[in-house]
Amino acid sequence: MVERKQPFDADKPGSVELRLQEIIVGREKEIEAIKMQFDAVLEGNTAFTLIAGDVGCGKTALVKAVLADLASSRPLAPMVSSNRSLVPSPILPSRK
Amino acid sequence: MLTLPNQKLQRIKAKLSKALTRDGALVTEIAPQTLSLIGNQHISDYQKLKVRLEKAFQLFITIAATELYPLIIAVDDLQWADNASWRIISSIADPLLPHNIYVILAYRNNTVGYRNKVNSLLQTLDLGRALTVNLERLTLDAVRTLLTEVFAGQLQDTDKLLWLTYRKTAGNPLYLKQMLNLLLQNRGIYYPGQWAAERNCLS
Repeated sequence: MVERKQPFDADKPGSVELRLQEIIVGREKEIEAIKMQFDAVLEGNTAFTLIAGDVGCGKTALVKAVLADLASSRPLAPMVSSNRSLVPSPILPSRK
Repeated sequence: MLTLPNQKLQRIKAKLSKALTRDGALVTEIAPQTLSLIGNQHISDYQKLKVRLEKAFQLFITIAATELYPLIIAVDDLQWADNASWRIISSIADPLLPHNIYVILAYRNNTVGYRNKVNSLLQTLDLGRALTVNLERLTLDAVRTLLTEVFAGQLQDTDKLLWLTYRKTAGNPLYLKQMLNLLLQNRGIYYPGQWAAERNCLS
């Protein structure tokens, strides 16, 4: 399970909704594989990851989670994206 | 800018004309609204112009990837990429370029049209050993984990809600979250000291 580090009070209004929005489940293997692929870049290569799936299967959420994870562990990873919602701070936003 | 007084506008036009010279056509191609500022420049060789634009973008990415290393570029909804966007993506994927970047391309593959389009685009790239991630629907166990985590283990009748949501959404994460949000908004799931689902909602 992947989640942002947010305080959680079960009875606090909005806490459950926020948690629901941010939690990703069942994608642990995929996230690890993507992070391993990113390590190839750190070793001096260009690397590609293709993420495919049906509508609503969590492609954008997965990318968002991975980018947030990489940004938190490697502060020197600026990001440009075609989808502004993907990009954690600090950002180099696109015009979309 | 176009609403500025004429005198000022003419001054800007002159500056743009001097600075951009024949590359003004590059700007008007990307932003047609600038035609009234830059003018309709004659493009003598459109192919050359496209190559210049791609080269300029390659140069930009090369410098950015060096200065901002490690650079990650994520492109979402690749199935909707137009030709111009695809040429830009292709230009940064050139294996001969001396940059180290991580490119994530996400796309829908739920229709034959999307699959064919993206596959034909990807065939034009030299992706090397690309990682391909095919996202499937969530398993029942994953949905159970979601419910447990979202409600911090404080949800009564978890199994009943699990079966209801799984049956209705078939494990699609978006539909699942939308359904839970709807239940929360309509008090189908509520908090009388502990999270619980309305009986009518479960039956």
